[in-house]
Amino acid sequence: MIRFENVGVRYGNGPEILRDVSFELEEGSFAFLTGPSGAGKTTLLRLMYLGLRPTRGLIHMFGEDIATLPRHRFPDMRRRIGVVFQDFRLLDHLTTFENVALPLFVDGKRSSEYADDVMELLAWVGLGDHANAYPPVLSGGEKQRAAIARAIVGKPRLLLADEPTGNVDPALARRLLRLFVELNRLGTTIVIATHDHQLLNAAPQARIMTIHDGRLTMTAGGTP
Amino acid sequence: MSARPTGWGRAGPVFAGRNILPRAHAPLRTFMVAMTVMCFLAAMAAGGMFMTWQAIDTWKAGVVSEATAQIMPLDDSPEDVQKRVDEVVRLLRGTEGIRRVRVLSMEENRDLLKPWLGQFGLLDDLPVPRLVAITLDRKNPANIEALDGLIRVKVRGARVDAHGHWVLQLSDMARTAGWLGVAILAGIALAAAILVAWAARAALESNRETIEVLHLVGARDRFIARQVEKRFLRAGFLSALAGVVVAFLIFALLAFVAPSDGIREGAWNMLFGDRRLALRTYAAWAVIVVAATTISLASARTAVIRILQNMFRQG
Repeated sequence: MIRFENVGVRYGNGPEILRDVSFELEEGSFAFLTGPSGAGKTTLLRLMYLGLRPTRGLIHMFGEDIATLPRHRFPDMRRRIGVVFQDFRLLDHLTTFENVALPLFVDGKRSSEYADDVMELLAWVGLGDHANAYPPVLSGGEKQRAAIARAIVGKPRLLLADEPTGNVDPALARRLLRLFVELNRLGTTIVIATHDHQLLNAAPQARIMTIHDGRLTMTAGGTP
Repeated sequence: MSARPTGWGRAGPVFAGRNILPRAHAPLRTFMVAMTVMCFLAAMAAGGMFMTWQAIDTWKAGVVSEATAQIMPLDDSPEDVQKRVDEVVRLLRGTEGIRRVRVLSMEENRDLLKPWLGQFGLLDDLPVPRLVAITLDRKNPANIEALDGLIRVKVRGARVDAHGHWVLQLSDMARTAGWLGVAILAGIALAAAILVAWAARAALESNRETIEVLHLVGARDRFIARQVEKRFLRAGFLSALAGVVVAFLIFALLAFVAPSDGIREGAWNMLFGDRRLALRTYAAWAVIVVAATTISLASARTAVIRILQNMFRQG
């Protein structure tokens, strides 16, 4: 599903943030991306959600070479990817419901088609009573859950999450992890960037991708 | 199934008829204020230019429709001079294209020359010509050259002067003033265009976060551009219209309460009185609204395309 070959990223004339990164993630796999702050985790996730073009190397996503993919096909590719950003990236002028429904709305679906599903999802992440609330009045944990709901509402084939448990208490973190595991069981490939070791220990079957000084090492693991 | 949040309409709970960009935020409000002010200035400049042109036209028409017959005092007696004056008046009155003929009295002649010759009796010793003021029919003016030829032949020492050189100079001056007005309007329009384009880009830059999120959740460039265009079309049009409406109200106020008769009449003619002029003014104001809206739209579109193209860039 995802294949990186000797990928390198450099911002401007600065040093290489990622160096010779090569790995492959099969469909339905579950992986943690870990490493110290500033090691390049977010950069690697940006490459995977097509938010950044590599300076060198090859990236294949869903069987397509990203370098040769025409621009007009990017939206289709992105709709197969759900992303939970570290800073949530919820739109403050939209309600929680609207934020979560955004991927379906931009896909041209009618609200009558998805309203019930979105409400069900909001209830599932514990935000059923906050559907009409705007992000500025939500707590950090609630924003986190809204961001997760938005990432999975379109039933993506790949879910990328950047520190998804960074703003929640341990109990909620475990609940969110169960949610990811459940999604993975349903066939979604999951990549979670974190340096929360408790989270890593809670899913021992997951593969561990470790970045250090821009280089990636991968420990063997199986699908949970 | 969970209960629906309150406030949902029949058409659907979200996004129904709504633009996905924030409705009003500080940079968009700044853009709207800038747009209103610049369109107001452009509309005032256009209105002022039309009023000036109208005043120049009226002035020129007044000068052009005036001519003067001169009867030189030759070596004949004052009675003979008066006979020649009467003959000139008779000929003028019999000519088509002349609306009014008036013989200036000697007192009036003296008054005209006083600024140059003073009032110490010198005028009594000089051979001052008798003058006849001629008002031409503006719609069908008499041919002054032919009239001059006729008068010269029929009445000794008489001639008709249409102030040709003077009119030409006036005309040049008026034309210069008119083009100066156009240049001022063009300057204001250019400044308005630059400011509006800049404000539109600044307002859009502040929406970068929304645009990025839309992009990352899979929105097509066309969809995002359409959302931006809709927002700026509405904001741009309403602001430009507001600027022009304020300019209209100011000219309307001038048409009723300006202290100067000329300005009051000019503003009235421009808005309501002179149909052709009013049409021209309203057309110019419509062009200002359309042009300003188009500029804001084009700037926003260019800016959104630039933002979108930078979304997937090399690190």
